[in-house]
Amino acid sequence: MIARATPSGWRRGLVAASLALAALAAGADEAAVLTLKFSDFHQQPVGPRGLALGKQLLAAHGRTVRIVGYMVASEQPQPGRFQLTARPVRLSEHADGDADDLPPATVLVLLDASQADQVVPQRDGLIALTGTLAVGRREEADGRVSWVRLQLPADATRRAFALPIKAGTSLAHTH
Amino acid sequence: MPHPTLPLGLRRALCLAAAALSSLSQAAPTVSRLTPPSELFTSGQPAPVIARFLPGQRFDLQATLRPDAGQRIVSARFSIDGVPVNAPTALHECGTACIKGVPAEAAIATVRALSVSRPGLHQFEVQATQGDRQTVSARGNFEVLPYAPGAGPKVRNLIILLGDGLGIAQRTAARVVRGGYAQGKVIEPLAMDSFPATAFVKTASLDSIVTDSSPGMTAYVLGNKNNNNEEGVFPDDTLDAFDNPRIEYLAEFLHRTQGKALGLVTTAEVFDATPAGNAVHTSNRSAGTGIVDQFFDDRHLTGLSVLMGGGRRWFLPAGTPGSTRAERNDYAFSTTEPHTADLVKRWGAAPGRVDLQRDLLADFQQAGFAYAPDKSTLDAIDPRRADKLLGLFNLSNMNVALDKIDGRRARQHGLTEPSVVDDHGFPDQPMLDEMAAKALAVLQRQSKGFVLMIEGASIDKQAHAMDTERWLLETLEFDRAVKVAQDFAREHGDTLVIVTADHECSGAALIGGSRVSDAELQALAQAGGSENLRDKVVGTYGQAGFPRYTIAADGYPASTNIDRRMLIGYGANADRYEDWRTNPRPLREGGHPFVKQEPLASYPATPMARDADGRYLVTGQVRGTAAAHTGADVPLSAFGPGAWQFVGVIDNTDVFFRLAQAAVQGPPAGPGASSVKPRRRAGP
Repeated sequence: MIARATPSGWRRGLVAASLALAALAAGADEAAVLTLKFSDFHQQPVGPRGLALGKQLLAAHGRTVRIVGYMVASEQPQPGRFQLTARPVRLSEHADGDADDLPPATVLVLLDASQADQVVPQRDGLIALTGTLAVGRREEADGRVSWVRLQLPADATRRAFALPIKAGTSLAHTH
Repeated sequence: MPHPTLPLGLRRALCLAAAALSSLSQAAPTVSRLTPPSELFTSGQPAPVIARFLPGQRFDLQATLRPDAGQRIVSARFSIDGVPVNAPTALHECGTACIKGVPAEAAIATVRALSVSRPGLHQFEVQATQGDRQTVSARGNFEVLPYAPGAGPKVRNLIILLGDGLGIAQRTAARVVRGGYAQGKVIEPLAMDSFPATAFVKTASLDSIVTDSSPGMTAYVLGNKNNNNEEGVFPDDTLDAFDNPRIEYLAEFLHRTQGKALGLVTTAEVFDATPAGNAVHTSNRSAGTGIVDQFFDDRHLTGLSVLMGGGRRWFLPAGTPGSTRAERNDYAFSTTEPHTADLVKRWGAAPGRVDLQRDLLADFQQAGFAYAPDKSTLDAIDPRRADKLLGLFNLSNMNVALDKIDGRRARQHGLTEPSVVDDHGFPDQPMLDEMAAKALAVLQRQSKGFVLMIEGASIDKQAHAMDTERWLLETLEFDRAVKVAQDFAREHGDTLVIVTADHECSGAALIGGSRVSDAELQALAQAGGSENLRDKVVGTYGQAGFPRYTIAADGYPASTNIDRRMLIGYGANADRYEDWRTNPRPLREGGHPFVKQEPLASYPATPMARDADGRYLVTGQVRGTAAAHTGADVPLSAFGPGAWQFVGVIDNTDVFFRLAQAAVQGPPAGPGASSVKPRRRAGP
């Protein structure tokens, strides 16, 4: 099945990858996997300046972690990556640009380098992912700032049937 | 060119010969864009006049020039009414810096910070020459509007209350909830209803009959139309979001000519379109880093002295968790390339710098701004000692009034269950009227007066979500800020207040009232379906009666889930399930840091998820999950000296000239008198 990568016609993602969720945990050493919750990310209430990262999050840096969340629905899906957060989020990059609704506690999920040209089609509902966590600020190529990234292993995705990504499915708005 | 004294036949022959020769050589260069925008350039028609300015108001001239293949534009000059412009023309070759479709060899010719003092219709022209000496010229027009003689003292202070998305239905619905009706008469009017003059405002932007919040705001404070998503600039052909042709804002004009200060108060992030559309010049309303930097960097141009709202995340150094400062949306001008260097030289703008580690919060504080991260700190700031104020009460948008009030009531009653504001990590946020009162207390110390914009931002955001009770309480909160401003104006006598909207949102309609009690409504929601939730609930005409809400001591409804409640429909709606009851939790505000903690886990993600238990699906007329802005006119009400200028059906750009009239010359004589009259004749 051919998936269109972006509405702008960028077509590197000729073959979409879908998450082989059932296979994720099987390959990992259960004892070494740390379960991380989004609620572990920050302390509250927020003080007069920025966020104080949670101890559990900082301790997970460099570790193999399992995290459960929702895949962020993107108007312009990027090959080789998608975002995961604790609640369903739909982006409308065209209308909102950097003023988006993503919470700071969002995980940027990176596919293996060998799959950098593949697009993971949107899927609704909670998903569980296991990978290596990195904590720290990084400005991505699209200008968004990520604070937490999850690097998936190569076997986390598989080339499979995938629905084409519909262009112009923005659910956000200008205001 | 054939000489005009030659016989007609010979002239025609010479013209044909010249055309034939021309067809053998290359085509001439062309002008593909001429700014300020005009119908004279676009269609050849001299009317309507698109661009209008105050005498002395600054703006940029610009042209996009396309040479023949293999040629370069070597010179360009502008003239106004046949007189060469006495200012340098910056010539900037596109290379890779222009938008798709504009060739690399195209050149952008710009004259910065020009102004014209003589009122009337003016023609301007650009003439350009390419390397082989072929030339091109193009003409446009603009108008400089005269002031009318002032019939009273100059107005010292201008207050613009901007209810984002506040259409007529939102205003009427808020009146029903807040004031109530008895036998058709309002028991207690809204503050905005007590203003003596009201106009209908046409809200179209430069590129659409349906505006977004950027040009919706800027028209009021520029006198000109902007494109959607752009603020303080005319569109151009470059990729740089901060180099567009500028137009001087009302605050900049009055700060430069009179020394007035500027205050901006909003419930949204302060970088959002409405506040930024008073002080920042960019074609990208989303460029958060550059926008907040420019607030600070160019405060010497705008007089910015008060800035309050959400959006703290843009003020934090990139290394601070929660910061979203990014290189891609920052700004920096070359000081050697005339195209942008003239913004610094001629406008006096700051050059900017890509500085992700900038601690903008500290910069504001070091510049003398008192800083309030929460209501308690805001309350503690003594306005007699602070003449500048920064309030950043949330990382992203502030929580909405309904949830702030719920949080306050929960604390007053000693409830331990976390409220929404607790969940979001910001339990101590001020209400808009409290922010407005503090802003006025600080600004009234300004010796030359001030311009203050106060925005009720989430009337729009909650209307997008079709969350009726939340935009209703946003409107009530906004009206309380209106009353604060009105009381100030009443006390001081030298302050003109307008309350209006940038556009309507959602096509809201007051369709009637519920025919049942809240308990019955809940039972019908359990049964579900349109046969219950529509046919047995929706009361139209006489069945609607007069819904009566009880207002608590804090000024807000004791409960929005009353018997025989008011019902709202939406004409620009997305698909939604409806059960008419107050949604117990807001739609997820993704920018909040704790959105994913367990107390928020039950929050609905979309209007489709909300109210789905009732299974009453209202099919949408727009795609997606959010209602859309509409192109309907919006009401504008005015109070104070010069209020009578604001009557009739007016364009949003007219408002700018009437505000300036009041501040520069004093209000004109007589109700409805104005210097702004529609021009019907063609040509200068």
